[in-house]
This record gives sequence, structure tokens and C-alpha cells, in this order.
Amino acid sequence: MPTEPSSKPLNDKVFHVLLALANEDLHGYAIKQDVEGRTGGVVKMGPGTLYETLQRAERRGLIAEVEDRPGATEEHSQRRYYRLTELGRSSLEWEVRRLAEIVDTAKSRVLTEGKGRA
Amino acid sequence: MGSADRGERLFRLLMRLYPAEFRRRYGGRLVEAFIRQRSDHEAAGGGFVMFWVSIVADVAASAVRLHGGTVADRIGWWGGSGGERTRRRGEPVMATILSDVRYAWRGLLRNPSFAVAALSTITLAIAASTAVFPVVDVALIRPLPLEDPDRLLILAETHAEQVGGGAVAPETLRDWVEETTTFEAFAASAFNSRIWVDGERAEVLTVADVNDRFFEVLGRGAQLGRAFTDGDGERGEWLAVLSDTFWRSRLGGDPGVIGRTLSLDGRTYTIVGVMPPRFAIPDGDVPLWTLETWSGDTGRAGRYLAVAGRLAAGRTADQAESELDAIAARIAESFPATNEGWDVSVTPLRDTLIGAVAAPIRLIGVAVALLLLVASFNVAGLMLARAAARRREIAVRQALGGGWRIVRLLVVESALIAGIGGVLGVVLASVLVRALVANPPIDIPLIETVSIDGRALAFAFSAVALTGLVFGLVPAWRASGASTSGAPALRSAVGTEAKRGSTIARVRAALVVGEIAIAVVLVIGAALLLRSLVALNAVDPGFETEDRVAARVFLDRDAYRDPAQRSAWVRRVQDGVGAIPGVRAVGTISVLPMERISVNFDLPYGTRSTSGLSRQDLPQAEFRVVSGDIFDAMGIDLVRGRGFRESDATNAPRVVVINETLAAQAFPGADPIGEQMAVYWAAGAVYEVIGVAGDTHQSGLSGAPSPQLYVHFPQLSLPFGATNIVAATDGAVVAPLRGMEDAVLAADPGQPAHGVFTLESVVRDSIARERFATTLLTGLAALALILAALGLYGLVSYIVRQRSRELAIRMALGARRANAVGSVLGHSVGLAIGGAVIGVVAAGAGTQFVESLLFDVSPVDPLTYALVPVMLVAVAALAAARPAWTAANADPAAVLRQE
Repeated sequence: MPTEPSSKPLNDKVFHVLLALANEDLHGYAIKQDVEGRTGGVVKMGPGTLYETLQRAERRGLIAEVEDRPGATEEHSQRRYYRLTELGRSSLEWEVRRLAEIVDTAKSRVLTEGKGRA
Repeated sequence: MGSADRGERLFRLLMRLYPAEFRRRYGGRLVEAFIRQRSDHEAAGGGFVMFWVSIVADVAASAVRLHGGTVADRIGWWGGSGGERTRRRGEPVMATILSDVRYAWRGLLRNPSFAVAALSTITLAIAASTAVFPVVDVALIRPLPLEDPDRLLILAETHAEQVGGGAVAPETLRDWVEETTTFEAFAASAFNSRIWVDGERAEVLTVADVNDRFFEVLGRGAQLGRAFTDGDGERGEWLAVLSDTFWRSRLGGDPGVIGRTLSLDGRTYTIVGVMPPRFAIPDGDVPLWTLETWSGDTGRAGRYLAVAGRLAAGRTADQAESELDAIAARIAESFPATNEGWDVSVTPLRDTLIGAVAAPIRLIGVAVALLLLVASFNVAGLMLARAAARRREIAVRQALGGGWRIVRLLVVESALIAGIGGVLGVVLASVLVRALVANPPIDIPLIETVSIDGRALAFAFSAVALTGLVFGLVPAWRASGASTSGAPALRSAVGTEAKRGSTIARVRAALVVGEIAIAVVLVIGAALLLRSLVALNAVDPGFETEDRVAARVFLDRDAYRDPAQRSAWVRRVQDGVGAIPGVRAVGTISVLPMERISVNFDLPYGTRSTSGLSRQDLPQAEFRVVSGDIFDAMGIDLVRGRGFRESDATNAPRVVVINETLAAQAFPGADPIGEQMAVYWAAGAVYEVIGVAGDTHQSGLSGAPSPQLYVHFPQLSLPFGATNIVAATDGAVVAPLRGMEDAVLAADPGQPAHGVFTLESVVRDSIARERFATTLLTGLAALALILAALGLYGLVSYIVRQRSRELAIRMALGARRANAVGSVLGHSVGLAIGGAVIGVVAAGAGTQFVESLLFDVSPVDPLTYALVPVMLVAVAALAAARPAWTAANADPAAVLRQE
């Protein structure tokens, strides 16, 4: 039930962080790059906002730090990678479905109105 | 690079805006991100100013949010970012609660095994404690239902060397009334058998003769008419007050009964009042109270009154005791023959009323409390597991902002389970209590007043429900990030899932260890009582119990004042009973073994070796007046010599049969047959010993036999007390019992039997207290055992689920099934052993609750202490076997896919 009345949408930035981690584990700066690249810079992630968001997501159990990433090079070995937790994934799916429903609703309304006008 | 260093230094300065914790954790990464962003910015050709504007804005904004979050966290979870801050406006509260209840109900239906386990635990615990607590409460805790009961003292004349006593002579009571200043007034009573003639019918009633201040001292008035009052005794009227039960069941509850008359023992008593229900003194079976003054001179040796004194205002029990002792000393000086060596004992009323049953009741009270604890642990474990299982749901909802709602749902769910369990428990308890009151297995004082009360229920209910609530909520609370105060404990619901799972497993393991320990304590207690009961049943009572029937008759004092009349009556009864088909021997005896008696039947006796002693210093023996073939009829062995014969008549030489204990005491090492023995009833008479009978257990199976002497009815018959007619049959019991009733009536239609019974029931009743305690404790121990096993079963299932992945991998890697099962079982058995060890130690420390109830078994009986823990561990292994087996048989691939 994505439209659970008392549920609150995911924080926008948290959502984008989860989305960034959907397919692969990333370190902090890579997340920033992914988010800013995907949104065309509409969502800005300065260092403070980035780690504030990461901390929030981590505290809620949506993401977790991974110490060793298989295949990490010597050079980047002390970088902290982040990974989506099970909870993070289900929350993300939940939110995506919620957004999809909104989009569906919006589409049906907008398209109906458009046809009516045409 | 100098500029780079300067920029970095500036950024580090800005970072001071962040909370220290955030800075410590992310400082390095922040700087790294700052450096990379700067180089990206420069690479993209961005301007210096724009870069710093964005950095300052970013740091300031995130710092404000971070501080805000911390403050919100500190205020409490409801203000936290994750909480649902407010209910939507206009949403009716009742509708919300109802929807929560519906949701919780559906949740329970979805998980019936949890619902059944939790409900049955709560129901059983609440039923057991709600039913048993009122009994403990009435007997040991609650003030007696009398006015100012603490000022009531039970007074009795006692003699250091005499086991009997416990009663007061009327003349001595008169001295107390006249001379004491520490008492306001005295209540006196004595049971008496009176024959109630109602039209054509005659019936024996055991009534209480009481003095005129009896009701006043106890502080209870009549519900109808009046109770006796001060001065009634002086007018010489025959008055009676009815009990509520008698009034309702025998006289139809007719309010017009006041002023009518009753015929008791041929005298006409006027009914002046009806007492309220549940006025149960001297006991709950008393049908009516008759006014008595005991004005006839029965001598100071006739001690048969139960006396209670009400202390005068401001006086203490100690003052009363010393005053009564002084009076006793003076009486002893004036009447040394009857009162030398007699003191007065002063006991609070409650102690006297409770006395013998205090130990079993206390034991049961403790057992119920322990069971309640096991039940609470069990519910706690169940709720913990449930909360853990729903962690995901809770966390997802919380992450989406529904944290408050899930907590609310859990509260509603706990309340729902507790509520249903409570209702079922109370229904079950009320059935139990009704059965207990209607048919009390032992003589519990004031049992008539027992009923379920709110406090018992509230106690049990809150114990179980609160535990469930707390243990159900805490994990939810933690999972929802609600209780955070900047706590790293909440770092995640999933990232530390394994750790959290093992924490819950650890808490549950502790609970299970506790449950097993308590179960061990209860089972050890029950096992000790069972062993003791077996030992008691193995004791030879000294007489046969099979195929033996008896009837008790109280001869009317006035009608049978003449000994010749009494002998004639005894002869008629014996002939009548002897003529019943199947009866092969008949006899009468004044007091049956194990019969509770209120009159002192110890008599001093003298032999050649006691010739130098004064009468007060003579040893004593219990005496029994017998007739007919009493030794045959009761199956008492005659060890030496002979029993009584017809020829041992009134005017023949006086003869006596003594028991083995008396033989050893009076004639140590000698053959007593033919020896002379003086028995002092009134003046004293010399008897020749003609036989030695085997010992019987007078004071119950656990008591040592006391010295006894048997005298033949024609040679010493008493004008009061009971006569028990005993018959040995050739196997039938029911028909002879009925025949005895008729034979007694045939001997004198005005002297019906007061009751017919078997000797087997006499022995059975004598250990009713032990059997009651054993049965109850065994039941409670079994419940505790089942709950502990359920708790362990639940825990092992949980652990197996937790470890399913690990076990699957091990199996996939070729571990043997036996090893996987073994590792799960080993853990369970380890917990069980831990619990068993704690239980054994605790049981050893709690022996005082059971010690006084044990016969021939040590409270630290090694066999019991060794076997019970072994049994518990075996039960634990059994409880763990199924989930362990399931885990081992799971398809590893399927398990891993699930993960």
C-alpha cells in the first residue's frame, strides 16, 4: 500500500541517494556525481549535504557502509563504499511505486483533460 | 599548493559548524569531497566566488539540518524526523482505535500459532493465579471479616506435659470474666450434637453452643432479627440464632421465622435471629448457634470451651497474657488437683484459624507467583520474537514516516491479546473457584468467603500484560528509531541485522533459562511432595482400611445419663449392625484414630514403678472406651494376651488392653500381661492388663503413635462424647453403610447416626492437606514445565531461522545433517543445563516453604535433585528437536535463494 495515509514520502535527497545505489555500491563522491549527473544539477549535493544525507539514510537503516569492496585498487582501498540494505531497497521500491501511482493518476487526469480540450 | 591549503583550512573552519559527532565521523570524507569538488569545479572552468558561495551555502544548510535533527532527537521520538508528528486533523479518535483493533485482530489471525501460544499462556497464568490468590489472600493476607480482628485473642488452658488441652473450663472462664481488666469481653463456644426433631423427622445437628457475648465480641450482628446480647444468658431462656445457609436451605429463607421455635434435644428453642451469609465461626458448617451458660458444675478439669477474648482499648496481648497467668497461678493454688501446672496460652485469632493450613497455602502462593513469572517470561519471549519478525515491516513503515502508528498498533495488539486472555482466564478461574468453594479439598478457614476479587485479577493481569507490552514495544521502539537520543544503537535496522537478531536471541535465551530454572524449582517441589505422599501412603496406620465401615453417634446426655441405659443401647446397636448381611465383626470405640477431637482424653496412670509419684507427675495415656469385637472389627492386631470378652462386665474384675507404645513406656522390658495399672478418671481405679494391641496412628500417618489404653465399655462409660460403631465386612461397603444407618435408628429412633463412612476415608481425609498441596503443586509445576518447554521451542525455532543461512551453507558444503542438528540441539541443551543448575540452587535455597509438609523425605533429597534436572534437560532436548530437525532437512538451495 504505497499510499498508506500516514506514510510520509522519502526525503528527496535520500531518495536520490538510494537511487544512486540501486545497481552498485558507490563511495561518497561517486554518489554525488551520480545524483547531480542524473538530475542535470537540479539536485545539488555539496560535501555537507552529501554526508548529512548519507548519515540520515544510514541511521534509518537504508544504506550501510562496506569496508572492503571486491576489486578495489590499492590506491582507493581506504575509501568507504555504501550499499543499499534490504530495507533501503524495499523503501526505494515502495517510494518508486508511490511516485508511479502519482504519475499514473496525473497522467490519467492530464491526458483526459487534454483529449477533452482537443 | 598554498592556495589549496588555505581553501582546505577555510573549509575545516566551516566544518566547525557541524555537530562534533558528525565532524568526527565524516571529517576526512568531507574534506576529500571538498577537494574533489573543487578540482572538478576548476576543471569545468567554474569561478572561485561561485564555488565558495555554493560551499558556504551547503555547509550552512546541512549544519542547520544536522543540529535540528539532533535537537529533535534529544526532545524525543515524537519530535524526531521519522515520527508521524500529528494525526490528521478531524480524524475521530475512536475510529482510529477501532481500525487499529481490526488491524491487530487480522494480524493475530494471520499468525495463529503466535496467537494461540500467547493466549493460552496468558489464560492459564491468569486463571491459575486468579483462582488461587483469593485463597491465599483470605487465609493469610486479608484482615479477618470481623470487627477489629487484631484485638481478638484465642485463649486456652495449656499444660506443659499434656498434648491435649487447647480449651477452657467454664469455671475458669467465669474467673476470667470477673477478674480481668485487660479484656472487654469473652466469646465462648463448644460444638455440640443436638437432635433436631422437625415433625416426623429427627436429625443430628452439630451446633455451636455459645455464650451471650459471642457475637458481640466477634463484632457481627444478625441480618435478620438479632444476635445474642449481653444479659440473654441470665434470663434462662432457650434461644437460637440460625446460619444463613440453614435458614435458606432448611427453613426456606422465610423472614417470618423470627420468634418461631425449634425442638433440639427435646427442648424448645426460640429463634431470635439469622446471621449474615459467610459468618463462619467456629466453622462454616455450623447450622445454628444455641445460647448456653454452662452453669452446671463440670469441675475445673472439664476443659472444652473454645474461648476468644476481645482486648480492652489500649491493652496488649502481653499484658493480657501476664494477667491471665497470674489468675491461673492463683487458681492452681486453690485447686491443685485440677489446675496444678496449667497455664494460659494467648494466640492471635488468625494464627489459630490458619494454623495447620498456613504451610500448604503459603507454598501454593509462592508456586503461583513463580508460575506467573514463567508465564510473563514466556509472553515476553513471544512478543520479542514477534517484534523481531516484524522488524522489517516496522522499519519500512518507520522509514516512510509511519513509526508512531506501528508503535500504536503494537500497543493495541498487546492489549488485545491481554484482554482476550484475561477474559478467558477469569472465566476459567471463576469455574475453578466455584469448584474449590463448593468442595474444598481441605479445611481452609473462611473458604466460604473466597471469591474472585478485582485485586487478584488486577495483579495477575498486569503482571502478564505489562510484560508482554514492554517486551513487545521495546524492540519496535528501537527498530523505529523512536527512543533515540543520538544513539548509535539505532544506526540501522538492517545493517546490524545479524547483531540485532542475536541480541534478541540472547534476551530470549535469558528468559528461557529463567523459565527452566523456575520450572525446575516447581518440579522439584512437586516431586518432593509426591515422594512424601507415597511415603505417607506406605505407612501402616495400625488398622485395616479395606472393607471397614463406621457410623458416629452422639448419645443424648440427658436421655442416657444412666450407664445401664447406655450399655443396653450399645448392645442393641451391635446386634443390629451384626445382623446386616456381610458384616463379620462389630465393635464400638469412643475415638477413632485420626479423628479430630477437641476434648482432652489423656488420663494419668500409675504402675508399680510410679508409686512414689504424686498424681500431677504421673505419666499419661490416651484412653479409649471400646466394646464388642473392636480389635477384629478395626483390624488392630493383638500382639499379646487377649481382647475384651462379654464376661468383662460391669461388676467383673476391671481389665485393660494397652498398646505397644504404652507397654514399652509403662513396663519396659517386662511382660505387661497380668500387671496392675491404676487409671485416674475420677477417683482412680486399678485395672489388670490383659492384652497388648498394635499401635495405631492417632494423630495422622506422619505422627508417631502415642501411648493408649483401651477400657471396656461396661466398666467405664462416659456420659458424653461420641460413640463410633465400626464393622468389618466381607467385601461389600455400600450396602452395609446403608444398613448401619437403619440399625442405629432401630436401636433408638431418637438417636440417628451423625454420619456413616469408611475407615479408608478416615485415612484419606487425614492426608487431605498433603494431597491438596501435592495435587496443586504438581499441576502448577506441570504448567510451568509446559510453558518453559514452549518457550524453549519458540526460541530454538527463532534461532534456527536466524541461522538458517549459515546452516544451509554448512549443509551445502557437505556438513553432515547430524552435525547441524547437533549444533542446534547442543545450544538448547546448554541453556537447559544452565537453567537446571540455577533451578537446583534456587530449590535448595527455598526449602523452608516445603519442609513442614514433607514426611520421610529430606527437603534436599538427592534423588529428586538429581532426577528432576535430568528430566528437564530431556524435555528441553525434546522441545528443541523438531525445529532443529526442520532446519537440517531444509533444502540449502531454497534457503539461500530466499536470502
